[in-house]
Amino acid sequence: MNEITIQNVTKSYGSVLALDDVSLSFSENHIYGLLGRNGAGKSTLLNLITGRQFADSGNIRVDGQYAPENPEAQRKIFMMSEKNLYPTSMKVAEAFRWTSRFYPEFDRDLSASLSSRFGLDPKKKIKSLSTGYASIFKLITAVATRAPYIFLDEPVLGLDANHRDLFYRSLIEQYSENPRTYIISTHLIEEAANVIDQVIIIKNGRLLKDESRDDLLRQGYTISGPAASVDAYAAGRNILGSDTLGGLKTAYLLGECDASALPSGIEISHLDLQHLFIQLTNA
Amino acid sequence: MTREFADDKPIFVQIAERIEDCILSGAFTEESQIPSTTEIAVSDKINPATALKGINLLVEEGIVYKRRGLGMFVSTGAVRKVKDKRKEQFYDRYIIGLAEEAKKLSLTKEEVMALVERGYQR
Amino acid sequence: MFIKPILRYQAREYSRPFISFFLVYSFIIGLIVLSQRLSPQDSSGNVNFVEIGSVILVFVCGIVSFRESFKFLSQNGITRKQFFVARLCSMALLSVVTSLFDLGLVAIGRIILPSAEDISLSKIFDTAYTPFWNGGNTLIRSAVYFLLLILGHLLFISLGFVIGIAYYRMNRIVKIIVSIGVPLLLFYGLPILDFVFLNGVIFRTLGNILIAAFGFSLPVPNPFIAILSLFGSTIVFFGLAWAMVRRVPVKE
Repeated sequence: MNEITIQNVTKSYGSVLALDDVSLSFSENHIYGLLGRNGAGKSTLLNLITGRQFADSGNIRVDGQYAPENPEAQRKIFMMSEKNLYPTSMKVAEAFRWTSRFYPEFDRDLSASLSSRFGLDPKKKIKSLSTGYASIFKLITAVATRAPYIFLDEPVLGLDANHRDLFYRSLIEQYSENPRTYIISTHLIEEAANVIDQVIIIKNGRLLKDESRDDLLRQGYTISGPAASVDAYAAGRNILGSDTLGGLKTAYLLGECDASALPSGIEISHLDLQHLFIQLTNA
Repeated sequence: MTREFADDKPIFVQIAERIEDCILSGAFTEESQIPSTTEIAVSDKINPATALKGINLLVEEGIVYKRRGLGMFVSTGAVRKVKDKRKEQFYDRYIIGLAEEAKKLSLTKEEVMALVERGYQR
Repeated sequence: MFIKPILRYQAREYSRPFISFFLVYSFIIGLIVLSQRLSPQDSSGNVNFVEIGSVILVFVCGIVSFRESFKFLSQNGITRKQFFVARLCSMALLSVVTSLFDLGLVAIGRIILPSAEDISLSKIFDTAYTPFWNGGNTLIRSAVYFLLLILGHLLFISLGFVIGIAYYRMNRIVKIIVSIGVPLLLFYGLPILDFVFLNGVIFRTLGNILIAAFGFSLPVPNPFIAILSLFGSTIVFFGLAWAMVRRVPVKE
């Protein structure tokens, strides 16, 4: 039973309900995209699993074991958080060395080779790194731990295009060589969209979607064309949302495409995750 | 073979088509090895499962096959198979679109035929 | 319970302040020796509460024992309980090391300033408890004295630890209020209240409690009462610390 299960978890901060009765599970060797707008509750969920904060109610298990404050369960997880929890004077190389003592599977060769690929200087103090390099440092640490469950909270924050590219390549490479569960929490979906295979969408602390990326994308389609024809076709169907650009209208629809009813002059295409996400989480 | 993916087809189908393109162009000859799932996944930044799904599509059609412990290879006769398949798809993929676009532009059948002729002359 | 690497990390945290402290003291001792060499006739100066330095050191170490350590270890999947147990061990270790340092310091002080007046804390306690031992086994007597020293240091660490955790848990406004309010209350409010309105009852009572806690109120002062009091109050502070750590969120 290798999975993380979350049952009826609720968490509030004062009067703000951050997570509202969320139940889901993360199963072995998938790359999850944990998607949601800022403040939707993504980080809260990860913080509860790693025991950094405590849920008001509900049950969180890692491989069948109750997770919070359980050393055995926690050693299976490494979470790269957006915030820096490293001591002021600690250097990159020191952090790698200490992490390898807490995560015995830590791959020192990998951390060294990734550091040189990204141009991360191990002699630098962590606190002196730029936002981008701080993210790179944390990413390298996370991947090198070889923990069975690796959480990446906003992994590409501050990374330039080249480094984002390199990051996703390295991630796929590592995942292919050593399959494990990655949970990538982000609101920057476009680049992650093809990498993840499972999608979890959280909106205002509630679970909105939890399914494979392919299944999710198969549920809908996009049509675009003259506004009148699009409206005529879309009437009575399940519309997620739409964009208008002058007389051109694009509608995002759920369900099967009914090609016979489709007026001419209308183009159909697949939903892409980015658009689907925006439509699902709007307002 | 890195390219941007189009929105109108699932990515695994596009992966399969790209490999077919390489077979047609002779980049991957028959009985030669094609890139591994990992190589494709890394170079295209896609989930390895998606890459595998694309390759499996070709395995099902007998276009590539697996040599245990070595990797995936192009089958003998794969070029033929791909050509036959593409010919079948030719009408759906190109002619329908061509005719629609021509109608939008009010091109006559004769004008279109002349253009096709010109395309062949190139 | 996977304590070893945590303990190693935490011991490492203490090593830096301790080494600086050690170097400063060595430098001072070096200066004293040097000044003696330059003027051998002059052996003025006292061995005067020399142990107070390490008490301040361990108190400060106690205060800074929580925040950074807890955050870093949380990042590495260490639970609060693991953190706390390892912290207790590392604090005990620090107390032993600083106690040894104190013993060494007093010994060196007595060697380099043989004719000076010795009013080190050791001397005071030694003198006070002499009737209790009444000759007795010097080995046991030294062991008890060493234990007393360790527990004394542990008490100050635990006190600092509680303060450090309390500060971590406070939000900024409370932190400011406490930082200004508590010293004000302690150094002005309480004395004024005591001497102006209560005729010194509070401080007299506190003094009596302290005297009783060290077993000095008995006709023959008993060092084991001191050990018991120190141990008891240390336990209370650590209990308080655990109550505050048990469910504390990792602040980001």
